[in-house]
Amino acid sequence: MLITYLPVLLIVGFVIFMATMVLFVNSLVSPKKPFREKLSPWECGMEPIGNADAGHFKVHFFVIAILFIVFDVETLFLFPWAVVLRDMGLVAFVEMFIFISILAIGLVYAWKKGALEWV
Amino acid sequence: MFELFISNPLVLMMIEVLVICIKVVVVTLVVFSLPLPLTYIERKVAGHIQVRLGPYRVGPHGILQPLADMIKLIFKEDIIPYKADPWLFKIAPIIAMVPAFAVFATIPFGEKVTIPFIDKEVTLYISDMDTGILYVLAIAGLSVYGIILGGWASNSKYALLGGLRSSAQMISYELALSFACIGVVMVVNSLSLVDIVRAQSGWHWNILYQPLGFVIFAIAGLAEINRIPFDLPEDEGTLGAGYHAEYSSMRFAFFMLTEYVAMVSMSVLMVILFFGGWDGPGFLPGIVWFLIKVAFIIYVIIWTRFTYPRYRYDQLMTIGWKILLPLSLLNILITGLVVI
Amino acid sequence: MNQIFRMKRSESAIQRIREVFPEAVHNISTLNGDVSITVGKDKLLGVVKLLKKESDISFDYLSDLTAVDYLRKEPRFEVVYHLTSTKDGAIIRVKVPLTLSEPVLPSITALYPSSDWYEREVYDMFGIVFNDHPDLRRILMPEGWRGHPLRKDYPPDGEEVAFTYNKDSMEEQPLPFILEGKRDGYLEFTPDGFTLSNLERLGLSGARGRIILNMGPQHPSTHGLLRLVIELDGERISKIIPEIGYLHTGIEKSGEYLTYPQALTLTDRADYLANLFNNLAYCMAVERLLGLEIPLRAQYIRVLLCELNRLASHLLAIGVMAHELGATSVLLYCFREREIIMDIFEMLSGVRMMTSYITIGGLRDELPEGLLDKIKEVPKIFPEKIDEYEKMLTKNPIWLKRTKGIGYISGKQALSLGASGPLLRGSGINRDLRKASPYSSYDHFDFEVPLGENGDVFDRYMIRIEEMRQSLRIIRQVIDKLPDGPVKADNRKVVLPPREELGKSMESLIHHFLIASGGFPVPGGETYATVESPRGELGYYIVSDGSEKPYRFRIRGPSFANLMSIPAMARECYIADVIAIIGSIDPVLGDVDR
Repeated sequence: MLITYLPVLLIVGFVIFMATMVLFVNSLVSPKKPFREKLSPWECGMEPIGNADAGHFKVHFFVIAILFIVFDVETLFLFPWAVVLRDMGLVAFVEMFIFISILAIGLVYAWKKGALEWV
Repeated sequence: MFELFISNPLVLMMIEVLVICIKVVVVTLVVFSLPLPLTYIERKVAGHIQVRLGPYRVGPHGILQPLADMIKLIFKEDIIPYKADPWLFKIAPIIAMVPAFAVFATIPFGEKVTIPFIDKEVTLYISDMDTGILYVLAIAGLSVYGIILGGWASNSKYALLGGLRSSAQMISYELALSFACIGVVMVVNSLSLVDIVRAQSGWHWNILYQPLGFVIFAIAGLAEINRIPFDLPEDEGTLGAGYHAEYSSMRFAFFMLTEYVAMVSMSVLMVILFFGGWDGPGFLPGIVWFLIKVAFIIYVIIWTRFTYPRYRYDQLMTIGWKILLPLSLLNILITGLVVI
Repeated sequence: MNQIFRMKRSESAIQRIREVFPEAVHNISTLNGDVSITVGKDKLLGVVKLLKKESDISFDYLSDLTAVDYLRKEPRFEVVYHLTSTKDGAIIRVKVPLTLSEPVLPSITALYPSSDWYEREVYDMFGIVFNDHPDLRRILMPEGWRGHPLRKDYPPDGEEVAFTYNKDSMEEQPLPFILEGKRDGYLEFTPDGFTLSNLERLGLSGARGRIILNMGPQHPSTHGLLRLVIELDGERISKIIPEIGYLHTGIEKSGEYLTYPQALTLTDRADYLANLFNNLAYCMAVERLLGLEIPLRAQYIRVLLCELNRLASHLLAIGVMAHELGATSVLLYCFREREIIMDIFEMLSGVRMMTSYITIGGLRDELPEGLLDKIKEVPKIFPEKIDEYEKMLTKNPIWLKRTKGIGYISGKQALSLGASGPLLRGSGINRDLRKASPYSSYDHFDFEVPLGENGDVFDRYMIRIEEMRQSLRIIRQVIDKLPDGPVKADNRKVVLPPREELGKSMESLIHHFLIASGGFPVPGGETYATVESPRGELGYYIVSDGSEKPYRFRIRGPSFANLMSIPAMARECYIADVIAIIGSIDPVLGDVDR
């Protein structure tokens, strides 16, 4: 039933509405006296050396992200499986066992390769 | 005539939608104002743990302190750093905040109540989704976008570090969190949160059947909501304030709001999944039991914050990937064996 | 006695130098128990090498390196090295005269890596250039500053700051010492030289994937105004450069313009968390120049107060370190106990921190009534509380993970980098000046010097915990043994007469007036007095020209030298570990920048 998902839309809409209202009120009552020092990014009171957004991501973050996607997809499979496990019994369990094992091997491989070591 | 009108399917539908709308407004407003008492309680608890009084000046026992804070925040200048990406910077707090609220669309606070006078039965949840828990996990995970964007759009190195930490931490612990939930689903055979609570009625609480799952859920949950000992995205000692370093005024307040709401929703989820939701001795209504349990868990989270130091970043990732993840897989296998 | 033995050792060192460099030593004096030699600048490296390397001499620790400007004499400057032996505490002073026309010396950084910052400071303050120094920049004053402040012809007044009312006159007359490049009221220069153009010279690469991050001066965990320029590779540190000078208040310069009793109050402000140690070291130095004997009761009470101060300082060190690692509550618990000590100090002097209670010639006054009973409570209350901190931290697995094996430094390296105090002892080197060269009757009391084994953050933390227990032990003994008697030396030329005499004796009144208004002359000479402060070796080098004001007022702060170890300790560690490392050094920036 689609109506069960209607509240999600309502909540999202309502929260955005509230947030905008609060920000609107804020913009009415707050002072606006910007100057250069106030608008500079906080770096312990010093002039920043170089930009922060110039691609300073470590590749490692992407490795973690890829690992995450692998396991997150697994979660998607596991949820429906968990619901019907009791009805389907041993077959389902063995199937999933094999599936998890394959992923576990992948995890062990990544582990051994040092992908989980933080640099 | 009225009977006919009331039994018209379209009208029924309208009433249904109206009830939902009212519930949405009520829940959102309550959740929106929850951080007010929560900040007060947290600071008061902290004060008493730390042999001091906590807020004491505004109102009796400082009870109006959060209100004063809120008024102050509204009157603060909304500063947007000149190096920042203005649009992303502006919407990031809202992106973080909306999912934290959306979680409550399916949270059951109790069974049903009958409203006097109009004699209508109303469920104490907005909607009972078939995919309940999956929905909660999926939506709660969206908050991290706001945090990353906030950290990145600020174009400040400390904020960026906070945002990056937060992204890696959230995705790492989300896995363990989901796997811990799968254990519960295997016991209960349903994804609907209402069904999960019903299955636990009569003291069949899941914490008894899923002790390992509970421990994993508790640890991963703490990490998901960035609380000490896992509060690295805003690691005060190292990063100053972390991802919201550049935020001020209401946008900063939105980030704080998100955190407190996340803390509440995590506690609520824990009560629903492991502590039998509104299940309790009959002398109090279910919803009271529910609130008592949630309050207790929130208290424990605050208590933890003022007891432990925080982990270092690599240690946090190690715990997530090398301890919690294998353990949660093991938990699934054990549960599977027991269930079939 | 020990003192004589140490002098003998220093004298044998001089004999050796005479043998090897027959013409190097110009002048030897053994005034006030200090042995000092004057060598020519071309022989400096040879003499210092000999002093360090020869096995039976082995002055292996550079205590201090500074300079004195004798404005109207020729040669004008004198660079002063204080070398110590960690084996028996023998100390020798090596002086090198320099002329204004050629203020150049060879750097001794190859022999003593710890001379790095000291030489930069001498360069900054006196304009003396050290050849072959790896990175000779200004250290306390900003880059672009004109003049060298500790030269005697540099005016002591501050620069005039442009406000709206004097803006025009400021523009008309540019002051001689203000910074170059002021524009629109804002300082447009980079005060430190960390501009993109000279990053490479400092060993920082702005390579892709690396962030150059300023940690401090305005940062919650840098203990004041310490600045660390960090090059980050992800979360890992690839290079770290400590920068200081953001709390430079010119105490050394101001001291030269105050009388001896007045300058005492400045010492409180240097290491503000260990003010009584500063008082003590300064007073010891001046007393040595005056040749004053301090009554035993005063010596004991000095020990008592210093140990209380050590407790307070260590409490703060542990609490703040725990706070920065996330254990907020411990800080508040530490403050709860520190408050007891602060109350004692307030009862003592009316002031909580800047007590100035130890004065030249003894103590400011007899202890107030009832204070001793209050101090007796301390050893009763504290052991239980220290156990409580240990319960919260020492046995906490997260705390162990954050501190064990972090910030390792070997004993040898720590020594060569000039470290002292818990930092040095954490690496297993037994050097506590209370034992090595006992002062103020410390040899009358039983206590142990706790040592670490692993040289990591955890060991330094444990040493502080253990030192607090030892302090309590000393406090108990002082209370038991406290003799009766006066608390001031009886030299009326130096020590203020007691209040009740002022009404009766004209002579007392005159003395009081003279001391209070003009101070007292101190015989010419120089001396270097050290105490073991909570952070390590705290030394005062006082040069007197026979007048009422110190000619040179030099503070050797332990934190200054300890900070030089940061790059060695933080090598290849995570950014969050830097916090733990700073916490374990426990620097006080007032002591670093002075």
